[in-house]
Amino acid sequence: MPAMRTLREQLDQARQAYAARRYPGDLVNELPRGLGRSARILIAVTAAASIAAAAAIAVILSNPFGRPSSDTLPLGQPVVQAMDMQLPPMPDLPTGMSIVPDYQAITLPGMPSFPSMDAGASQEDTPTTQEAV
Amino acid sequence: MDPSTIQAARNGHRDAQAELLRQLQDVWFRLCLSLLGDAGQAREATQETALRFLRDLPRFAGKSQLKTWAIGIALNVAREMRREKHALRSHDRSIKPPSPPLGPLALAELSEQCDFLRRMLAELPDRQREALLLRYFEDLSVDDTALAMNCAAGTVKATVYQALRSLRQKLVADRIGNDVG
Repeated sequence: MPAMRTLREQLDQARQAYAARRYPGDLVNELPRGLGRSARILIAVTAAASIAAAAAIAVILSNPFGRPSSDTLPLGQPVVQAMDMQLPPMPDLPTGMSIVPDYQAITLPGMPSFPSMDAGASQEDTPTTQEAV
Repeated sequence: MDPSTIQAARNGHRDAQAELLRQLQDVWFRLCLSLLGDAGQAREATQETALRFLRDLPRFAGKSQLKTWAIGIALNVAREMRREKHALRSHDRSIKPPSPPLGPLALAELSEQCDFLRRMLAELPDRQREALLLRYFEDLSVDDTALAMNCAAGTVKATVYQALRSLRQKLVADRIGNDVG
C-alpha cells in the first residue's frame, strides 16, 4: 500500500502542476493572423506542385534531346515532304462483249415406258408345274 | 459554459466565440503539451484546434458537453501532429517540425511546470496517457472520456487501469532502485 499512497500523492502533485499551465498568449488575437494548419499544408502542396510542373515544362522545352536538331530539320519547314500522288489512268473496258448469254432451247427427254400391268396378271393365272401335277 | 454564449457563438457572434476560446485555450494547451511534449508544438496545436472548433461549431449537436467536444478536437489534432512527428523522425532525424517561437521566460516557466509530469507520463503508451489525462487531470467522467477519445466506456476503464498499474510498477521499481543504489 505505500506504493499506492505514493502514487496518489504524485498524481495529486501532477494534477496541480497540470492545472497551473496556461496558454502563453492570447489565442483570440493570434487566430486571425494565420490560416488553419490544413489550409497552410494545402497551399504549400499546391505551390510545390505548381513549381514542379513549371520546372518540368522548362526542362522539356530546353532539352536538346527532346526535339530534332536544327541541322536535320530547319524550323518552318513541314515535317512531311509533299509526295507525287498522281494515279495512272484507268484502263478501258473491253467493247463488243454481251453481258447476257445467247438463247439456248431447253428440251427434256421423253419419259421411259413401263411394262403393262395386264401382262403380269396373265402370268399369275397360269398354274405352276406342281399345281398342274 | 453559458448555454446562451454557446448558442450565440454557434450563430456566428464574434464576442461569444472569443469568450469560448478564452475559456478553452488553457484546456487545449495543457492537454496538447502533455501529449506532444513540446511547448511550441502545443501552441500550434492549440491554434489549429481553435480554428477547427470555430469551423465545426455550427454543427455541434449538443449530445455531449461543449468542453468534452472541444477536447475531442484537440485530441485529434494532437494525434495528427504526433503521427507527423513520428513520420518525420523515421524519415529524417535531422528535420525538426516548425514551431512558432516562444520567449525564453515562457519556455523556462513551462519546462519547470512540465518536468514532473513529463517524467511521469512520458513512458506511458499514447492511449494510456490520453485516458489518464482526461480522466484524472481534466476530471472528465468515464462516458465523457470515451466520447472525447472516440471509444467505448469499457475501453476507457481498462486503459486507465493499465496506465495506473504501469505507473505503480514504475514507482515500485524506482524505489527499489533507489534503495539498492
